[in-house]
Amino acid sequence: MNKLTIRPKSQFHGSEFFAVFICIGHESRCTHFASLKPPAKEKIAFIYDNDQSPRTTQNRKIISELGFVQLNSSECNLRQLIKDIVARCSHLEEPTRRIAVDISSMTRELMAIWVYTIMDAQNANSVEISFVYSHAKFSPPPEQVPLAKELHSITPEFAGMFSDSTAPVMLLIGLGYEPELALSFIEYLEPAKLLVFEPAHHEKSYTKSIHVKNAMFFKTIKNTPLIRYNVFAPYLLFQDLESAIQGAAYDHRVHIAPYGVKIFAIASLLAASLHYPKVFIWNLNTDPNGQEHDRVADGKISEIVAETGTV
Amino acid sequence: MQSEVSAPTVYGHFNARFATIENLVDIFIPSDNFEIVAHPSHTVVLGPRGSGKTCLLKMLQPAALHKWRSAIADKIKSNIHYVGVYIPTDISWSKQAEQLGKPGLPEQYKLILQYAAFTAQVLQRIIDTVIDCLELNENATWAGIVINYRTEKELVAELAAHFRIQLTTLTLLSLKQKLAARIVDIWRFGRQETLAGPEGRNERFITNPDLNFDFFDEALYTIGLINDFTGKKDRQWAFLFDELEIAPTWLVDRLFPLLRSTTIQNVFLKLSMSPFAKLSQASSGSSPRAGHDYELIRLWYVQKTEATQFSRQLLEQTLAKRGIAEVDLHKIFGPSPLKPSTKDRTSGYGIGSKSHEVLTQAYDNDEGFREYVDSKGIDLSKLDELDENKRAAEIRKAYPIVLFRQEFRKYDQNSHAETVYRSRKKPQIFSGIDSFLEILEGNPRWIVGAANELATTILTKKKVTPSQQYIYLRETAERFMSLLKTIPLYDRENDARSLGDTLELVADRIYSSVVQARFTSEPLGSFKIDSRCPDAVLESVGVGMNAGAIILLSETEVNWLAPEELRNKEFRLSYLLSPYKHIPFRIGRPLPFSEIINSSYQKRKTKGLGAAPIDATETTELDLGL
Repeated sequence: MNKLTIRPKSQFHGSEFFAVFICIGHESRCTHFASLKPPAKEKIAFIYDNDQSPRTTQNRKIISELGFVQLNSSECNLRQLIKDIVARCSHLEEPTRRIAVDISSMTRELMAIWVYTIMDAQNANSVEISFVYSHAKFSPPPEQVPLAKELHSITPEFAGMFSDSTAPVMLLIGLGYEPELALSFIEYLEPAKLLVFEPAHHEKSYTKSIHVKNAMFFKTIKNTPLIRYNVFAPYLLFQDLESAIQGAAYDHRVHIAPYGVKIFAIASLLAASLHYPKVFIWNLNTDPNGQEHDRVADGKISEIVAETGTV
Repeated sequence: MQSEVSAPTVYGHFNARFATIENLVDIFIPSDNFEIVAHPSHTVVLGPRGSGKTCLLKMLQPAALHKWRSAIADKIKSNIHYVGVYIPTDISWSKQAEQLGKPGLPEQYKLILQYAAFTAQVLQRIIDTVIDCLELNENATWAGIVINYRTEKELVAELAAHFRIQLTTLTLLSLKQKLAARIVDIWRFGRQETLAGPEGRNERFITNPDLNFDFFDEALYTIGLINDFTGKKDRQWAFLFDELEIAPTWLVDRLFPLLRSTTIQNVFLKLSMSPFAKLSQASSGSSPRAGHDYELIRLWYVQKTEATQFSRQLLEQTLAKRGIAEVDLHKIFGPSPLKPSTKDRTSGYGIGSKSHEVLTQAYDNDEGFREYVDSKGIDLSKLDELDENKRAAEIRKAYPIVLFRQEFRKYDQNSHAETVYRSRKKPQIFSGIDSFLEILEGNPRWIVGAANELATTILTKKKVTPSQQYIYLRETAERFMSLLKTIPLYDRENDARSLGDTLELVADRIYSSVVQARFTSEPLGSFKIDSRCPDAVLESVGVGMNAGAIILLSETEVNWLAPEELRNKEFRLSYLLSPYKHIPFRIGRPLPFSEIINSSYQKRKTKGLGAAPIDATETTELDLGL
């Protein structure tokens, strides 16, 4: 298993990507990064077969017009596909040995598959993967409480490996618009230590709504350490997470519950990759309880970069 | 074992799972249930979350018994003639075990891996307990293990050879560490196998020295060897398996038949689980039976008086730990409006008593109550002359309902207008020490949480006002409800609602029956899973039971329940929800649950506070390669 090198930005500024990989979903923002037409030799769009919503169909059309090859989830072995892309890319010369992965409309599970596969890559040359994220315009929190459907590790590979089942659990939890789920998860896991990550945004309405929505949560957790992270600075978040894991992994079973923005999920996965396999990352499947919101890109894109190791 | 104070939960900071032995012992109340669980017999402890299952089992460990000192402790400890080995199966462990050999490994191989990892864990716990016993240096039947350096070496050499472990230092500690390392090796092997092809897999699994052990057989072998080497062949042991409702099915399938087994000598099994469990063993005809094969302890209370003494002691003890010793809870919390005073009771609700005043007022204002009293032929001015049995049957039963109606209804006799329902912001009816403890249901986590939360107020003000009691209970109930609202309830395929919303509908119907409808002395106050309830809802109801939100009312039910066994049973809502929904905390007439799940839902909004802005200049400059 290779250790990834994590960077705030690419070393190869200005050069072409070997591949751009995006995921098509029902949110409008899933087309934003692709619509900027980043130069790339291969353009791949992944789509889940069971997503038949009209907005997804519309997004497929847009992505198709942008020259992306569309792959249905049932028709490809995703792990093998990623492995192949990275392997082919690793044979290129340095400035173009880079891939862009748009996580804006990805499931957290798909992000985990990406991170694990690039950790597992055995190539002669390193490859740089830019995980990019299109921020969305402010939308108010949903009124209904989402329902917790299933709880398990994000992928089998990120189920942690703890040799002492009596060691205390430390939970790092990302906040979002689901405080009930976050509280419920704390009750469920019963951690001995808790560290809460609260997203912050320069747009007041977003930060305010997060705070309002989580009022009961904050009242409950009282003096628990709270880390506010800038949603536009994923690398800083990665550093905070990595440092928290580093401090606890020796004598705790470290768990991460990646609620909230997807930036938190990707930063968690990358931080966990450096301590592999000592971190358990949860997949928190929810039922939207009759609500499905569109997310419209606000034009800002954040990036965090992982460089694969070599054989 | 490592331990520390736990992170905050919805109900406060105390949680037995990671509490230090000192904290555990500090907060421990030796209830009747502990005396039963300590018996030299197999035991199954059933209880919802926070009901104290983990605490009961962990207190049987030698390290806890050693720290626990009092006259009662000495008495109970003198009857414990086994060494308790605590074996947790928490969520973290269960979910991790579930993923062993995924993705891609066939089920039979995954099971071998899980079995092997669990075996290593059980052995680790036995060795850990022996190490604890040696450190305690106790000459007691629950801890007395003496071993010299040479015997330790011989014992460890024997165990290491049996478990195919290479050791350079023959100590119990290094054996324990090697067992921990084995778990990691098993995990690595599983990961490699998910990548390797099926060719040669059988051979690899057969020849791997870490695999193919049965946890229970190996546990018996290990304690047998320890007994032999320490010169006490008849030493007894208890394996304390916690939280089996979340354990893999194979583990439960292996353990439960052992409760019937007469072949395991010198070993008692103490198993804890939630009241609702989807276990293959649960409903099997050959299942071990409570009372015959094992003793059953239920940690929930059908009648509210059952837990009163325990709750009171726990509240007092927790306050004492916060520096509030020798408290008079009655003075601090005051009397409960729902409980007639001693004076009222001895005067038989006679003229001049507060109760009589309440009843007379209701007679004047509430047409339904007037009709009820008249139909029973009762003269309120002569209540003290009424036969005690009749007074109990007709008046005492109706009294709490009358009080609830007075609290939440407003009468205007002159206008003869429709009754107005009061939106009491801080109703007093839930206050008073008796009510406060009844609402907390004898749930240790809730009681300890309340004591910790209210300690500062008690220290400074010497009392907790009815409003403060209500605010505390209401906020705790709100947080509890917010958890219940995340639990899906499926009433038909792909149509999920929240369990919390559904239970709110039950509470709304009870409120309506008690407060809004015409007076009846037997309003709604429970619900029944009737035959028209779809199968899909049963699991959600079970999850609600395990969370402590739904209480099974059957007094005679003796075992845990599988989904299909919930049908035709009656339940009540947890009394913690009473202040939140303004409903009585008493059992009432059952409502068919199918009526509820067919009702429509109401949406509710939450409100909160704002936050300071942040600087956006830290934004990462994105390189698009353009």
